Amino acid sequence: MSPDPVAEHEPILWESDHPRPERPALVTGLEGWGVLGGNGEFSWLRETRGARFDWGGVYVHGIRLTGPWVLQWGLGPEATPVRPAMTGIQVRRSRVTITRRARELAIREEVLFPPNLPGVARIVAVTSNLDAPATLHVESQVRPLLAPVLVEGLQPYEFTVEPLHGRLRVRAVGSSLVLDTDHPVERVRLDGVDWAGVVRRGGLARIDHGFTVELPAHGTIGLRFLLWGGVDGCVHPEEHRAAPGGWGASGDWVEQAATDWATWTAATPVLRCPDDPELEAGYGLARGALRSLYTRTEPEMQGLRAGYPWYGDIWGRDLAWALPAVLWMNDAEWAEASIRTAFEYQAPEDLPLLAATAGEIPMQLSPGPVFLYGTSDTSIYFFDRVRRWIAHTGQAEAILHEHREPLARLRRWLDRKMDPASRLITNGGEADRLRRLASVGSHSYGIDSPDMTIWDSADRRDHAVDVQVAALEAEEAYAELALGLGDSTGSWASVRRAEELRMLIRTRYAWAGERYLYDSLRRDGSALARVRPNALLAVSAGALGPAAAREVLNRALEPDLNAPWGLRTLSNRDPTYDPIAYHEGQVWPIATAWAAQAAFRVGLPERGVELLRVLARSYLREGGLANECYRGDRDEPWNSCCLLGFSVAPFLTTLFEGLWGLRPDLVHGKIAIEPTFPSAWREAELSNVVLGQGTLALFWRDGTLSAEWRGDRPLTVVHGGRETPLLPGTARVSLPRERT
Amino acid sequence: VRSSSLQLDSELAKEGVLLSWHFGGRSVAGLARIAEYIQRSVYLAGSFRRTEDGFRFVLLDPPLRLGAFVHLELLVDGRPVPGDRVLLRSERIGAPRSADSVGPVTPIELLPGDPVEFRVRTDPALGGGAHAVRLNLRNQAIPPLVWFEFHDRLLDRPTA
Repeated sequence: MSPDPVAEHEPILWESDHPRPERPALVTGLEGWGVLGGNGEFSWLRETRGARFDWGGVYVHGIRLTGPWVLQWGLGPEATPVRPAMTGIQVRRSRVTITRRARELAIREEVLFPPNLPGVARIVAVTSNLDAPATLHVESQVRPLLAPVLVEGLQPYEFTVEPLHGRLRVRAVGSSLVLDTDHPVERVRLDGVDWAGVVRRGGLARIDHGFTVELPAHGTIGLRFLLWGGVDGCVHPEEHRAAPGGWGASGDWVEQAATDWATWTAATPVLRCPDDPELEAGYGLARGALRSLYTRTEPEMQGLRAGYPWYGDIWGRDLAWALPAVLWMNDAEWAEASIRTAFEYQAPEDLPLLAATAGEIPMQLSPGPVFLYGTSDTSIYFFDRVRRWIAHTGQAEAILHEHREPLARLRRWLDRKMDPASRLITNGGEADRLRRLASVGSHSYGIDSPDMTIWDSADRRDHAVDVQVAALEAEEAYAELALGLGDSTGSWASVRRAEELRMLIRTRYAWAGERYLYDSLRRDGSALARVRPNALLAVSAGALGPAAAREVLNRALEPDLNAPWGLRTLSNRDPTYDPIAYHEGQVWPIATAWAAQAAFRVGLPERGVELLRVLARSYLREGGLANECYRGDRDEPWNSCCLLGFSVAPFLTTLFEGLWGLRPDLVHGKIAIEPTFPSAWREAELSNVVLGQGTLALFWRDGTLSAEWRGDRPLTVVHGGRETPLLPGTARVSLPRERT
Repeated sequence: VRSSSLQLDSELAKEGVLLSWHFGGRSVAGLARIAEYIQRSVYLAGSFRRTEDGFRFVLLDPPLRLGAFVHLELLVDGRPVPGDRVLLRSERIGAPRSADSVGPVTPIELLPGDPVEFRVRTDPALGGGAHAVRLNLRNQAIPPLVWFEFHDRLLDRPTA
């Protein structure tokens, strides 16, 4: 008997038979997401910037529509309150299932983000334990928020309430929310006062919708609620005279959501590591976590959210770090649309109002659209991401033809970032220009962030090492892209420039005292002598010689930087170290993934796997989510989103490019495969890897690698110094090596 | 003041046109929406009033960042006010706290939906007319300074 594909690919991530309010449970959709606590309520208290704040609720288009959202029950003519206790919660990617029980009632609820709808649905089955029919009073209590997550500290204080096809619609800040049910609402109260169905403006703290239904003795009734809305112009309420899509389709929502998830998962690569089940399980969880960040709010705005709950927009840097993993998940089309979105909002010229310089990719992009620029590194990554996209698909001509102009703008942008004196790329001062925007009218406001590298609350001016490494990779990528664009002069210039950057990193950043790299150089040439994990990127990029690379890795893995739960953003021996400062000592999973990739690069697979296992264990412990960061002094999330793409995407990429050593070049019909497995391993498999129009499967047993290739063209595998052509439809063949 | 303000507005208008040209009118509308939102959601308009021994004002929400702040400084017309003369109170804060009681071990939490009243003792009394009131805040998790400044006319105490 074949297993149920939906159950296999859409498993329960975690479950509990008692309330776990401290655990988050997410339901996600392309247009938004919902946050519940592990007690099944739309309420989740989370320490945020040092204070506990309730993030539970429904979010659409980056707008927090409501939170909490409570259903209340009453029975009989007096509506005697019934308070069922939670008896179970099951969390899957597609939905959260909650069961509650009281003496009189049993309630089962499915919470999900229905496919292609801008809201969260609650599908409820109420079963009577009574021997006689009874009247059930249902109250849905909503706190309107309509707060853009983009400006996290704020919420509106004035709302417009208006009728919409017989229902209530609340509006503020260019956004709206509507609560629908499949039962006629009999009463609506605003802050405890009956609503007469007319337009009302002012403060509003609570909306109560109520209706009654007849509950048969020992019978079950179904109730459906949909809370939806979003940014005006992105959601079109005129189209929704009933619930969006109508209630007729709602019976299939659970099945459809589960099937969508299972279908996506089944189309991704399969990783088997019998010698390391934790790593294999971590892959499955990281894969699903990455997919839960996908967003498409308008045809031209597609990508991945940075994280949940408070980084729910597309952030250019986070998107760039996610894209390699998206490609490895066989989602070249999603990567393509994401890159197209990034280029759609590329600054065509200097836009001081938004802190943009010509050619820059946005820092942040929200539906509306609302977008801002002003980072030092985001744009640099996109040379390499376009190169990767081409390498995976082989479609160089079409891609380069479409993106010729954005790439030319990127090229000019990078050239402007170079300091002509030092020949290094400059970081710092990017956000200063935002101040003009922030001083419109009688108010001004701002954050004194002098520097906007990946650790954007740290001052790492003027030439951070990771910015130079990103530029080196950009030049290497552009050398390839320029050839495809017919610009051999530009290609050679990039080759020379990459070599120059490599030499500058090796010579100017070498820190003999620590056998490491300086974190940054100042414009006057003095060094910023801080031990941060960013130097590891130079190892992974091949910027250092073998001996220096190994020294840098070994130094990074000393306990002042490498805690048992991951790498800190700053050595705990540094005088400015603070275990709860975001970028001055907290542990970040992305930095742990950097260390793993560096370990594979220098040929230390045991260390690489050990570091990846740290991450895999956190995914298991966190129920398929991945914290943004942890305290530097103990294994405890702090000021941390419960899921960040940074925390899963580089892990996934490292499995493919570090552990399996894959480097596709479909333009030339090739892939290099140089796996580095721990010596204790005997077996590993990686199958269903889509490359161009074909699918590759790899099998490694006792040191021998074999492959299967199903494609319409031949694929040449480069392994151990030898090239082996695989013809279309190749059954499993061993891949010989030039040397062992 | 008026001419520089006009100049700024004209530059802004030009940039707005540029933005609209490249990204469509919705991009300008979106930006204006967020700017207006911040303008309405932080400083409570009309709350800057004279009190018996100084002045008061209300912030409806924390400016730009929520959380626990370890440093809080108030400046009026560019001059810092001693921390012991600045009192904050809100439903969440509970008993009024002075700005100089705020520190790494005793941070103050500023959260959305919890309006904070600032009462400031001044000696001598602040003159009438418009003033600039600036708040500097530092969060331990994300140390770069967050600041907010409003310009408003100091209103007299309500008459009984």
